[in-house]
Amino acid sequence: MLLSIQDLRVSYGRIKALHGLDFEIADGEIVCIIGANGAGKSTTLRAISRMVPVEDGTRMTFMGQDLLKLPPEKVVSQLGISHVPEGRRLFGNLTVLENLQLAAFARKDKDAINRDLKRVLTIFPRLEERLIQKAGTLSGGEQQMLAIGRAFISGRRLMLLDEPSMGLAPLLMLSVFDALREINAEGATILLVEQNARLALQFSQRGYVLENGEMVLQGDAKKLLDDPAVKTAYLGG
Amino acid sequence: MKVNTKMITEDEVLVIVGPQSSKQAVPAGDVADNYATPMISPWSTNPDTTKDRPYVFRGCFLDPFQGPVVANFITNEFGYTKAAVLYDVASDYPKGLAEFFKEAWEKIHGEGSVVAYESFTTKDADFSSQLTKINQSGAEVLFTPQYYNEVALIVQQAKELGWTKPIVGSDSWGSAETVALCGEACYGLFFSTHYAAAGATGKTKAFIDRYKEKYDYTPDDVAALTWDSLGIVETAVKKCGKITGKIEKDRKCVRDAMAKIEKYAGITGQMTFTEEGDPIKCAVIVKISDKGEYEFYKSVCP
Amino acid sequence: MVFFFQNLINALQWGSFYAMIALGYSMVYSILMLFNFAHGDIFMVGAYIGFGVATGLVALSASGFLALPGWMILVLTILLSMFLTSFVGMIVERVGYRPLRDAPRASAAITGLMIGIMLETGNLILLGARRVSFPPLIESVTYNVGGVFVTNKKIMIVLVSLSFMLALHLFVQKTRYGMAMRAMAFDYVVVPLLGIPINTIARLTFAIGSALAAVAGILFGVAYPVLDPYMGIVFGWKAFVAAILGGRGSIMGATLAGFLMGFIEIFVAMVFPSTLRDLIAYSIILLILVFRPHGFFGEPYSARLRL
Ligand SMILES: Nc1ncnc2c1ncn2[C@@H]1O[C@H](COP(=O)(O)OP(=O)(O)O)[C@@H](O)[C@H]1O
Ligand SMILES: [Mg+2]
Repeated sequence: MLLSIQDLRVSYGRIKALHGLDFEIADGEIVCIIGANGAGKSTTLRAISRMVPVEDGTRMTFMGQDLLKLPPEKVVSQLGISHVPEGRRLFGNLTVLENLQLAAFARKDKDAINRDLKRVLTIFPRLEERLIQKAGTLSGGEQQMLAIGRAFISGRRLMLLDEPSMGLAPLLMLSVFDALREINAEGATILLVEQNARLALQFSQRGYVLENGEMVLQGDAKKLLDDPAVKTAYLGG
Repeated sequence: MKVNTKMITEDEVLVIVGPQSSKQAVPAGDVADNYATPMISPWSTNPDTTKDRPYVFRGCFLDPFQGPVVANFITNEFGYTKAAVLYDVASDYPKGLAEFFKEAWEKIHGEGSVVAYESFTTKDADFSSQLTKINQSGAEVLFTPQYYNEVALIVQQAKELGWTKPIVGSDSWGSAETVALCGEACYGLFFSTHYAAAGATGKTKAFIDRYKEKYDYTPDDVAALTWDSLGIVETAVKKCGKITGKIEKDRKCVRDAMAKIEKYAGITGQMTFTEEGDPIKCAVIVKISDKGEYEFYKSVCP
Repeated sequence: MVFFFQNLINALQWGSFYAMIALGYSMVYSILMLFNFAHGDIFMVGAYIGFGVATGLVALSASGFLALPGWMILVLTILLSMFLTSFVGMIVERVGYRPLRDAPRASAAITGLMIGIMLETGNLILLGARRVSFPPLIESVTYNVGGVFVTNKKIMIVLVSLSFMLALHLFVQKTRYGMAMRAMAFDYVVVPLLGIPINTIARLTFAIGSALAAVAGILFGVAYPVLDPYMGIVFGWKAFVAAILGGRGSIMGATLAGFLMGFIEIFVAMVFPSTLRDLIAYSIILLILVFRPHGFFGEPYSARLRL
């Protein structure tokens, strides 16, 4: 297993957000977590990237290493886990190129960085035209591309994507997901979190359903698409 | 204050010489006056020390006195008619002296003869705008009654802004630090004070020599003023003649004798007391020599 | 006209001190969203370290062991003091701010004030309540240019500070650490997600701000050679005003606002009685802030503190 998690518990003060999740991701997979707003999807990703503290008893290992021993920046730079946060959170005051360069902050190998940079620009040619533009001036779709490109460069053994479809026009959504599939085909494992359950399940191999901080269903993505409970709750009947 | 009360009531002293600083001299004077015991503070410059206290005297002149002294000195020495003043508005001593100087100068040279009256606030380090204005004003001399750290900055900056005329100060310049901080920029400047060791003559020189022999360092103005205060007390006690032993009567006699002393020839100058118990005496003008020493230049009387 | 130019020269020198110190406030504020109120005292510490280094080098030079010209001593003093003072900044960050990074802003603000008091009293304990005289490293030469008096020191001070400001600008714009600082200023929460250690960036920012304060302190000692342990307080407040006036975290803004403050103070004193200087000068600045509440280059900004 690439990532394995047992009894993941997270609280925000007195609010308990996750009540003990268990799940695993194998190398090369595309896995999604679906669930309603407030179910705890983002919190799950934050826990993996060590942006929120977890409670005692939680175990998280990545390629056999204890994730809990690392600070957030080391999760990225040592393990290659990148996180595209909800709302993209680009550095709007930096140019597109600077956003991408910054993602290579902890990396040393210049040639490899340049190769990755080129790769990002071939996957998302629209970014190439906007390289010296401030990231804050990009359209929503371009911002999502840049956010994914940034994650691609900072580390892609496992990419955590928080609602990449949010706010995108349907056509753009499809092209973003096509790009993600390409990235996955090149070896990146993807953990995707979505409110748009249909899109997520169509795109993924496996899926988890999260409700009020608990995993209520899991399994093959195609099977979940046909599951009556999932259908009524998340796929609009 | 306990000490003072104890001296008066238990030790039954005849007369007190001290304390030096105004902080202690003001309350001590109150106690002495209440018990009708003559007291003379050699060095306290605060008017309150002696004010409305017939039994309390002092050995030094008051701050306001230096205003006219410096104004007279500059007028007679250089013949200038236009002066500039630079002072700290946030500090009592410089502010007071600046006002007294301005008043005295304009009394001599007429309204508006202080052509630049510039101020700053404590802790300021840059005086360039004030000094540029002073330069511009056509003033022939700058009076700045500041403390040593500001003196150094003001004098150096004035030179750097092209000021070549005299800069004159008051007794607050008297610290050895002035020259230490200011360096050569301050050589050749004048300030008024109570007493100057270097270049002293006559009686004063004799005192300095004896003091040096005994303590191995040059007496400062506190030492000199204390010496004079002791001399005044001695004169008064002698005048009273016999000590009767009735302490109240003797104290009254000494006080009256002190108040009547005329032109006492001290080492810090001639002294006669006003009704307030403040001496009318001459001030000393000091010139900072080419070696950075404070040299007696001349004595200036009001 | 001569009068005007003379004041212009005066203002340039005076403004460069404000600008250099304002930069330190501004940089720390931009990346950590907190004002390092100890910065004025770090300036003081920098000046005293400079005094110590310079005095030592002068003594060394006088002993004949290593005869150095005055300007060389000055250069060495600046470099060494920058290095030493940057450690003071890093220690302040480590013990004073890192533990409080997620504490309420008011706690972080008083931390700065407390550290400032500690630095002042520390100085008093170490050196006694004594003002010290900064050694004259370069002989002051005054040039009279058509009635305007300029000294070699003034020219040197303005040029040196401008070069440091330019160097800082290039550092922030061109290097990856500078880029990380700008990113952190925009949204510090996501910075670790790119593998960037924010502690390192915070430490670096304190170090750079403190090193600049040391340069300012030494140049201050050259221009106004009397140092005292409280020299950084009011000066620090005023530089802080410049940092706000310049706009949140803007290097350009802090620089311009620093110079502007110098100009306003000097020119107000030129036109009005000097007693009213600060009253009028700071009323003008208040007025500017009323019309530009975010300063010159600041943008309305709402901090998104959590992911
Ligand atoms: N920063 C926070 N502080 C307090 N509560 C939070 C915070 N972030 C999320 N929560 C709460 O935790 C729960 C899970 O939130 P989240 O993980 O954002 O859900 P989702 O991403 O599935 O919409 C919600 O009840 C939410 O209100
Ligand atoms: Mg979410």
